[in-house]
Amino acid sequence: MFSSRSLRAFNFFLMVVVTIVFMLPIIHAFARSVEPPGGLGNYLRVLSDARLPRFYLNSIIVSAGTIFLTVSCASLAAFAFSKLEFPLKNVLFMTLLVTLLVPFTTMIIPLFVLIRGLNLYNTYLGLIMPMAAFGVPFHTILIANYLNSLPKELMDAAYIDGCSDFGVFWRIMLPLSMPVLAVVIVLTFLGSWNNYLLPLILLRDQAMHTVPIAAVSWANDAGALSQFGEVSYDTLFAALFLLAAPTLIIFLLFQRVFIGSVTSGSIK
Amino acid sequence: MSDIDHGVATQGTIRVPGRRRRKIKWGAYLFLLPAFVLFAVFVAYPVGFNFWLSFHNWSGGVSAAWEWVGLEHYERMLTERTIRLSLRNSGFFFIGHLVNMTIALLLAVLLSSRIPGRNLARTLIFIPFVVAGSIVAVTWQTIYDPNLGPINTFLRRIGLDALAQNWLADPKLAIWSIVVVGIWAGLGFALVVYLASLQAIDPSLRDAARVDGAHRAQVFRFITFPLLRNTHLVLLMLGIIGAVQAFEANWIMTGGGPYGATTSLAIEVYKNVFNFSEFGYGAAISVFTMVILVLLILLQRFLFREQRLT
Repeated sequence: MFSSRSLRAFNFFLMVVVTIVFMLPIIHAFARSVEPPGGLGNYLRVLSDARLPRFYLNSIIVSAGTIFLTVSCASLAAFAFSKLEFPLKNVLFMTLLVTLLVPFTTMIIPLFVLIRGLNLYNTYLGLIMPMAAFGVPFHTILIANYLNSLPKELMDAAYIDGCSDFGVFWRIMLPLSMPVLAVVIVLTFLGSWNNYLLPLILLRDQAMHTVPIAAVSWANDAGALSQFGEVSYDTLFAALFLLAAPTLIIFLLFQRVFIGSVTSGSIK
Repeated sequence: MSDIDHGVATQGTIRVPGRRRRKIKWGAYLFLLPAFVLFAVFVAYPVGFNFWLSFHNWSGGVSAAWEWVGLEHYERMLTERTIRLSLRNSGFFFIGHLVNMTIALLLAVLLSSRIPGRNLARTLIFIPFVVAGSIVAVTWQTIYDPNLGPINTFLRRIGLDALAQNWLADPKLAIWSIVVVGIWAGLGFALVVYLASLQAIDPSLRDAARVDGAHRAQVFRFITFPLLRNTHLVLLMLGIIGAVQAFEANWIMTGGGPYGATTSLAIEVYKNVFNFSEFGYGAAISVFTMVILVLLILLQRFLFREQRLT
């Protein structure tokens, strides 16, 4: 048998090899992004492209709006489900659970028709509302589960002091649910920022495009998505890195919250 | 889920004798209002609309007429080659997901031993998961490029020209090329979920087995693996959902081609609406997608229903 020291050395070696093999696509993309003749100047060229800040801005507006709408709707509903008594409570809660079974595919046609009918096609709001609506059931359940673990005595004390239901929600429950709200924010951010299908069907003008759509049209312009014809990678890889940069930077800054959110969102 | 209104915390607390049941609060509906308005308008109504539409012919024009066709679209679907291919491809994506889970589990076991740099490895492997899927798809597209791509360039350089392929244009290969992208992009997610679950296992269980003379492999087979049962199930379910809904990578990298070899149900829905203006048929495919998903989830629930340990 191996001694435990040589086993550890072997494990370390294995980990390094696996990680490097895994990173090859990223290494390849980075190497291409600084290829001559442009070198690092490729990044400067993309940064000076007027479209880039617009794509960032579109994504920021859509994500921020979706996060705000999701957090407010889901936390209000979760408070009612967890802490208040009212008729039809279980029926309404089951309705939310059933919604978790609706796939995105089913929403393609009706959302396009609905948003067009509401005159919200090609607008931020027309993208934000469906995105939030799709996430609210899951996040309501997530927050309600968390609120269930908070003792009811906290509320009772506030009620004796003359607090209204909304006061209890706003002053007591919301501040105490910051850990779960952080999870909701991270998951909603990832879901809305990276969503490709909804902007694809609900937006038209390039000036409205969010980052994921922009990446594809950038690649299309470079000819990278066609099997035939001229390909000029040129600044494509620098553009891809810059388009991926916001989520990458936020992830590296808040790693713990990110990984914790993703695991708690799926395990619970 | 009926235990939602009797929270975990209250179960342990001592009830004051004679305390009255909590009062019914009609104001609760005000708290529910925003969520349910959003839900009713953008989820419930669309699902119903879609279902109704699936029995009609409609070109999608605002003033165009709806023509009742009954189950015609559903009958057409049963004979359509692209639908069969979509289902087959979902199966391939699910196989890819099983590979993904296997690699992630082995890697999680490796990274849960105390080796230096394991947190860095975890972070690096998680990166593709936070990057938009479309950026991942575009990047891989350039990797598979038959002329300029690094795979074929490498194969030619070491003299294995015969192995250089047209990865995305060959009808047999294309779907597997895309499955690999899915495995790569999803590995970090499964890895951190397994790592978290491994950390939650009481180490004394493994120690006890070691003391009783079990080998490392036996500890894994008889202690660790069974204790991760719930994690396996969650990942399996997410895998089913992802496989049935596949769209992004296929659509960007091949558009569902060549000759429908990499198509998916969502691509068929999208094409019928935005390319062929067949809204009714597209709606039928999307209803079909939902039915399949619900059936698969119920099947999985049934196959792995809780076997109570005594």
